[in-house]
Amino acid sequence: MFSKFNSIPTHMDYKGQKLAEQIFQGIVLVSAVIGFVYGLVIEQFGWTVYIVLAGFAISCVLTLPPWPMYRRSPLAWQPALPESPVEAAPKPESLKKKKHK
Amino acid sequence: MLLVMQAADQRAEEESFRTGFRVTLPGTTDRSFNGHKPEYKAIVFISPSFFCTRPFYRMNTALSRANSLFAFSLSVMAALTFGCFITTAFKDRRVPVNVHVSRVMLKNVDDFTGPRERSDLGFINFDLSANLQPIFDWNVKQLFLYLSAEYATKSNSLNQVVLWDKIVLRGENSNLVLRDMKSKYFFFDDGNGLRANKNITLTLSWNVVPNAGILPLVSGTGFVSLPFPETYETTKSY
Repeated sequence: MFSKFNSIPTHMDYKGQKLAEQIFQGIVLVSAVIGFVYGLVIEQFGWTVYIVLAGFAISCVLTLPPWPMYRRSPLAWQPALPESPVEAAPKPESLKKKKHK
Repeated sequence: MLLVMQAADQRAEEESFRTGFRVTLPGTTDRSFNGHKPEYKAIVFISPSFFCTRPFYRMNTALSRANSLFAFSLSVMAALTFGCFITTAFKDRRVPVNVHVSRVMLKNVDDFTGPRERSDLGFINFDLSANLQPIFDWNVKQLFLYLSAEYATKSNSLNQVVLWDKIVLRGENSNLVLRDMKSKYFFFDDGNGLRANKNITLTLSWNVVPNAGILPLVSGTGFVSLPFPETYETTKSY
């Protein structure tokens, strides 16, 4: 039952995280500049707030869900080793020596 | 959570090495407490993420992104608010005011709120005109206007009495033209300082209520000084 949920990809890779952060910072800053200028021109600070809130909402939609664009450079993991019993698993050198004493 | 790992047995040590827990395997004895002092190998800290690894303790989740996005937006909003304050902080918010007093009346009545003696009570009718439009900008929510009388008496070098006030909201008609207004509040002196007072000055001042920043108190340019009558009006009923 849970495998269906677990199969939904929820992560971002490292480049994706950086991209997401840059995107939301850019959107919020641009909307802040636009809102400030617009509010200064029409003399309504409320519109500045609304425009920044709109930028916030847009960046929420764009960067909160892990869209596929944030998963383009997955980490190259080592291939999984075959399962083996505990005794056969590689041990640290010191422990191994003691064991064969 | 802190666990002390001890070397008790070879297998146990290996098992401990693998799992991070102190382990005594069945069929062996935990010799560390048996006669000699336990030998502390390592102190193992187990972070909370040991107990729930997925998905709450990952570094970057939708929740953590939401947190940083919210914090960043809030900081930007604070900076904008400061910008709103700084663009209007050095503005001159004085405007010319026309005050004209059309009628002055002086009575001598019992002041039930004050010293319970007969005190001077003034009645003033006034005309007021001021264009407040230049005061309003994007950092002004409302103006609190008040008309105050200032005068000196023998007992006090400065008396200030608020006679009338008005709130002008942003977006309301800010060109104030008022004719033959009565004062809202009693103009009581705390003695008999109003009679024959030669110099009573009426000034319109205002508090500028801002969106952000300081709450400046501004006096309008333009005031009127008037003498008060020498005699009391006597009325049969009031």
